[in-house]
Amino acid sequence: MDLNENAEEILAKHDPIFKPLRGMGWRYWLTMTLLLIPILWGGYAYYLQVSQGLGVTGLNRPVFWGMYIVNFVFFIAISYGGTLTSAILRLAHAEWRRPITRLAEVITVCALLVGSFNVIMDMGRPDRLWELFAGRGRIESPILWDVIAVNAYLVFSIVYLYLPMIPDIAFLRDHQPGHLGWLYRILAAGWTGSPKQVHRLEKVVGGMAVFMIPLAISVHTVLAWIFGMTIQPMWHSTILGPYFVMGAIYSGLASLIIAMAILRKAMHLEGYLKLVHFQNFGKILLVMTFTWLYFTIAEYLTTFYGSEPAHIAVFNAKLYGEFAPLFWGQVLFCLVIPLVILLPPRFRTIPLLVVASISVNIGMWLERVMIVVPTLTRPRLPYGIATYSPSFIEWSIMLACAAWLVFFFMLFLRFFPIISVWEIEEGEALEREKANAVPTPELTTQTASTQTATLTS
Amino acid sequence: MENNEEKEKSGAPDYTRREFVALAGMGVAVAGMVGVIGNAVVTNFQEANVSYAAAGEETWIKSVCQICPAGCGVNVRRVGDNVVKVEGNPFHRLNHGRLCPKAQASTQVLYDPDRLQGPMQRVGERGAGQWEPITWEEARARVVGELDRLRTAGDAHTLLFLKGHAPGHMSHLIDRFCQAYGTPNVADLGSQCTSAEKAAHLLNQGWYDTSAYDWEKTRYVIFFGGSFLEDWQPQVQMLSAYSFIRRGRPDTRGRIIQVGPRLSISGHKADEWIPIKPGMEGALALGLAHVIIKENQHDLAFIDDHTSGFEEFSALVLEEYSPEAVAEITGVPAETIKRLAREFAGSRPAIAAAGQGLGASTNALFNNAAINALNAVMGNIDVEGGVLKQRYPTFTEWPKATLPEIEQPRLDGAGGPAHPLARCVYHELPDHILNDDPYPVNALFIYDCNPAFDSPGASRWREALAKIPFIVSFASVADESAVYADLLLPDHTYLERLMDVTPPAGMGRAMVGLASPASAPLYDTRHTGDFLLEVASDLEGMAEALPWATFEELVKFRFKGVYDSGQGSIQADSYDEFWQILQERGVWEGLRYQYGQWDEVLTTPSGSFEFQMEQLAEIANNVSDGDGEAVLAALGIGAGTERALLPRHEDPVVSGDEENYPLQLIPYIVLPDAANRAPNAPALWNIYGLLMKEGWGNWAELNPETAHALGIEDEELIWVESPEGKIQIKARLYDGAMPGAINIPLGGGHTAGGRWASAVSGANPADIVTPLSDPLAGSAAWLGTRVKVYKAEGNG
Amino acid sequence: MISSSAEQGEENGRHRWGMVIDLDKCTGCQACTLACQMENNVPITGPEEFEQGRTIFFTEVFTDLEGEFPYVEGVVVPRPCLHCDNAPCVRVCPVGATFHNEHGAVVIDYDACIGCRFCTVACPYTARSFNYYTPEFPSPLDRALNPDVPVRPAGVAEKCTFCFHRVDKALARAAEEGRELTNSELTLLPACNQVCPASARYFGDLNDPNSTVSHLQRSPRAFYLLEDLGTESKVAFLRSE
Repeated sequence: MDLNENAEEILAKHDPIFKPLRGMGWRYWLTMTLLLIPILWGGYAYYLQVSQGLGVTGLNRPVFWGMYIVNFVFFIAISYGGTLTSAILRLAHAEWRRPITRLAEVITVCALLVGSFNVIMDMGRPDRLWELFAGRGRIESPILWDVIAVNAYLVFSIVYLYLPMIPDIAFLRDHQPGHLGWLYRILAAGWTGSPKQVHRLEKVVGGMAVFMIPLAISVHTVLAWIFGMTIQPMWHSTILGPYFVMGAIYSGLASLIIAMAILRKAMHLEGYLKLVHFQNFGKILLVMTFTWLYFTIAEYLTTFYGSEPAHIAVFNAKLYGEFAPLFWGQVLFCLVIPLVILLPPRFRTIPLLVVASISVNIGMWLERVMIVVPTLTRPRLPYGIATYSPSFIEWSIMLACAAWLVFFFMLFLRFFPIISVWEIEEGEALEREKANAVPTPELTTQTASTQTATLTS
Repeated sequence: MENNEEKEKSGAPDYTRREFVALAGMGVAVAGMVGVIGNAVVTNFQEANVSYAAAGEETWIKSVCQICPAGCGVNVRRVGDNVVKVEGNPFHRLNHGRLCPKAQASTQVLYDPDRLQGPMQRVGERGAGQWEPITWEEARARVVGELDRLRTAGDAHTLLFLKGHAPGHMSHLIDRFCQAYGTPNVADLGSQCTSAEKAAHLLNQGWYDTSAYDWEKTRYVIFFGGSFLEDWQPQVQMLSAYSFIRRGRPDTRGRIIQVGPRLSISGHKADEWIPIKPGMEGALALGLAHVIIKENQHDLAFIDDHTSGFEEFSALVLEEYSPEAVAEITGVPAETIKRLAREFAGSRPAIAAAGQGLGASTNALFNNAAINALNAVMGNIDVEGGVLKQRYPTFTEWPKATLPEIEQPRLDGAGGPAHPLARCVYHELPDHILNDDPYPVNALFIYDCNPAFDSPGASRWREALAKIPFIVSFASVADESAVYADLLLPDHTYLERLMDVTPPAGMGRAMVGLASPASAPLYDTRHTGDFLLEVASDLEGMAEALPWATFEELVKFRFKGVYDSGQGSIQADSYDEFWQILQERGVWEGLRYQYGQWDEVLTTPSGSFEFQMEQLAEIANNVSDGDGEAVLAALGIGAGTERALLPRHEDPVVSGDEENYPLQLIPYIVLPDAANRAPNAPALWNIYGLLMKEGWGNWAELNPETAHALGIEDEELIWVESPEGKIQIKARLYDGAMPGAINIPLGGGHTAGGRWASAVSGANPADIVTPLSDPLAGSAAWLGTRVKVYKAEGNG
Repeated sequence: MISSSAEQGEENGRHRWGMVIDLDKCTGCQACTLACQMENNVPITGPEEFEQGRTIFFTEVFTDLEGEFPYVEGVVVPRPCLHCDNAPCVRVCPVGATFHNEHGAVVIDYDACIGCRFCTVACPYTARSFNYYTPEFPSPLDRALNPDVPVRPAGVAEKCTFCFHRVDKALARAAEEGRELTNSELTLLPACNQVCPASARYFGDLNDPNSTVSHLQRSPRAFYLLEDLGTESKVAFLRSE
């Protein structure tokens, strides 16, 4: 697996991966510059919020939580497309995961960062953020669980991203350093590609893969428990934890599909991100669609059947009240459109899968809105029905966060190979070994007849 | 080197320098953004501020709240020079240390940022809002000059002094000032409030006042009209009384019935709400009397000993006011009438109480007389748990002085053939002013009222104000009427001045509160009492009637009489000591109510409660030089008929015919705005619309069926149009509104009075109320207007 | 899950403040709402803030109307913070900025609050508010600020404190005089109670079984709002009858 042996070959063979590291085209820089516009605008919006207080948002009493929390959940959920997918696929020894794992892990890190931005921007006193960490934090609070889990997940995701990058970075250090040679040298951490190092790396990464799965599940579960641990109607639900995890897998996977499709087109990675990858994910997405349906029915049917007034008020607000367009939109985007596209196998083309994935993301964003807002508009005591309408500050910041996500991702693209070259090579090597180990057709027949002879004798 | 070769080989372009610049540029932009935000985060956030302006010694001053006329005693907390809180004065029996929300907003009155800070005179066109500051000397000179000029020209009577609900001796001072000056035209707000009730008491019992009540021992109350928990005077006493009626006695939970056209908070808290059309309350009272008399439940002893005219009354009632007949008139089911009558008769002591003022129609006097009669039938008068006559402190007699003879009649015709029992008819003044009838108004002083806003047909007032050549406003903040003034001579706010306040008829026993200044005047304002006395001293001949240099001197002079009586809660060896204790306690109260002092309670010529109101004939004769019958006939009162002098139901006159104006307009009062002299207090607007979950503006309530018939949805903007004009307002659907009615709370639609008052939304229903009156009492028929309602197209 | 500090209070023989509101006496006048705002330096806001639902009330009156004309029933309920023993807000605060003080009242350390608003959404009574703005008291209204109560900055939560500043002051004064506070003195300590014209509100020590509040909380008319949620509120209501 020593890439150094055929460095020239590797470079040429995986040119689509290595070429961008030598320099990006004008389209890349244009995109980056354009992304800066919403980012800087969002920064200005947040500056206004810091100067004038959270009153610049559409939040009020009793709707104390709104877009920021919705987006917090939404972006963290996107992170599931990454580490969870790559960890599970790695453990399952699904060989087709090789071209995908790194880009998935990058999505995870970027999404976690952007998600955390949202929750920090939601704070009334961000200047006291340190208090959460500096020993004042109360472990009894679900927010603390969240802080710990998200931070742990972020740190470990970075590590889980970085470690399998080392061989590729080492390769770059040796064969295409460019202006970043110094960076690659530091990050390669003295990688030589020796069997011992390889073995150690595989062991650590494998171990992490096992550990990342419960960690990732715990992240979205504690995120759910921020709502679930209160006693508010339609928040205090035992299914909320699993619901969030399932929803995260659903939207994370959808985001991954979108990212894959865009990368494939923009960076000419057709050789790596093949139709079969998309179709595999498409099938899993379809499974998730049904899973979504099951969980949603479980949640809403039990609420409806119980007819507890406080809960029914929220239920009615969602299904028949002012939130009906958003709720049924959620059903359309999370269920109807994905089913229509994903069920018939011949619809599982890349463009249609992207459409399905975008639909899923829209639907899942609507679902987060449906989780956070309606409950707050129907307080238990008869104060009257509250309304919430996000202000332009909140929309600006949401746009900025989406831009940040893409920006971070594209920044990564410029400096590091988005597809794990050494793992692809490793995979091909394994295939060759397997092919060699497999008897030739003639040999097989002979052996079979020999065996038959032996058996019957 | 190697790199470039490779690049050349693969044909990849070299972007390194440009890339670096681009990346650096982005990095700088992002870092800059983070830096700016970070800086904002670090600098913008503060710790909880625990130390600020108010530092210093804590002192407490007794004063009397003057945000409404009730006069609750307050205890003002000061830290250093700052008034930081207004709490109840535990010494003052009226409110025993408690307060309504309006009093709590006193600091927002004192420290109102939109207060006038000194005397000003108008420059430019009237209404242009351009003023220049002047000195008090200049103001005084100008006023004196104007008054002198008028008087010399023989036009002293053309001074009109609107005194609003002027408290205590401000009211007396203004009366005496006008007397000494030579004008009969002093008008308070009584005609918009309680004139009918007072006139009825005059006819029935011989005194012109509202009743006091012994709530604490009553077992049953029927309120006819109004909302006793929101628009009563004095309100805080009523709030405490409600509580006591319910829970103050271990063996009795008093029962309360609210009769009225709208389900108010009082209706919710009452045991029953009896919906009734406005103007029908008297008929209901007579229906109850009918049942009681028929079933022999009436108090024979009281009727024999202390009433006259009962035979005539009972004959009328038995003949014409059967439950079935009354059910026809009022819409209240006959069974309900019977039940209420039996409950009323069976739960002694009981009280039938007339809702205060606003629940008035053109037949208000007879309605009130009917309610009084109901009380008399059950002997509820001057007994424990019943209806009392309010006692007052005995002030020193006014000094003897030669007062000018005033030949001209009052401008508003009060006490004349048009309104024989009225003392003033404030709401009819605009028509007289506009028509110079019987003479023009050349000078107007406005104190403690806001006619351009607070009167029925306020739009007529605005026209009238525009016409008067010389207008002085004493308001503390430039309100809707001050816009028309020539001189703004701002009074102190109540916390800055000395004032005595006698609560309106409340508890029966005499009491008067003394408000001592709790704050030095913030600005160059002046106590209007002081100013008037200075003006009087400059006008020839007035000093004799008003021989005091300051208002305080006047009050001290008058209070000597209280001290001299030797009675009451302040026992002192000298008048100085008396005054000191009065200041320390903030209140003087007289002896406990003495029941059975019939020579004080029944002061009609016959010395009895007159079911048949004989005085009416006599008064009518007096005002018309003997042609009383014609007067009564002109007023639509069946002159010459046998029963002309008995309380009875006459259908109220309503402006607007039923076909074109199908709905009945019902303006009403909510507590945070009741008689509210503090429209620029933001705290009160937050709590303004409790039942409808509204604030900072008013709305129009429609019964859902009525609304749907008109195609109107909740929260939709509508036009409400009467023969007077139209207003645009938000509709709210409310099941507590009667079908065919539209209820609008007073207070919305301010256009002046400070930043918060001006920010209030909605519209002023007073603008479209026709200023009709009860002909006898001259009381405003707030509920005498019909309207049509339709959607405001293209809006909202 | 009664907060340990509340349990401590009971054990140490310290006071455990509670309140009772008699709905049969309450007139819905809202004097309590205003008295509290004035006492506690609640920010002055206008119609925009009211429209948006950001006016801060520590205690407020809510009404609930049911039925159709003419059979309309309504309840009028003044609702302060209920200072629950099992307070959902205390449980969820990530920095412990809201907690039970030594007398069991739920209070807020404004200098620790990070403004996450978890407490405000956790409260089933919606009794808590949040400072969406830096409070403004246009001069000279700032002269009326109560020096005993801090003015909160933007970004922190706030709510009814049972006027513990007045309670502590009174306790200190009584201690100086070497005596206990009487029931009637205690009842008038919160500003809302003191002003109530209907004398409908009571306050006192639930640790004292003979106090007025203890006695009233045992009344057959007593009930707790949303009692089924198990918040163990220390404010009881007496129903009308």
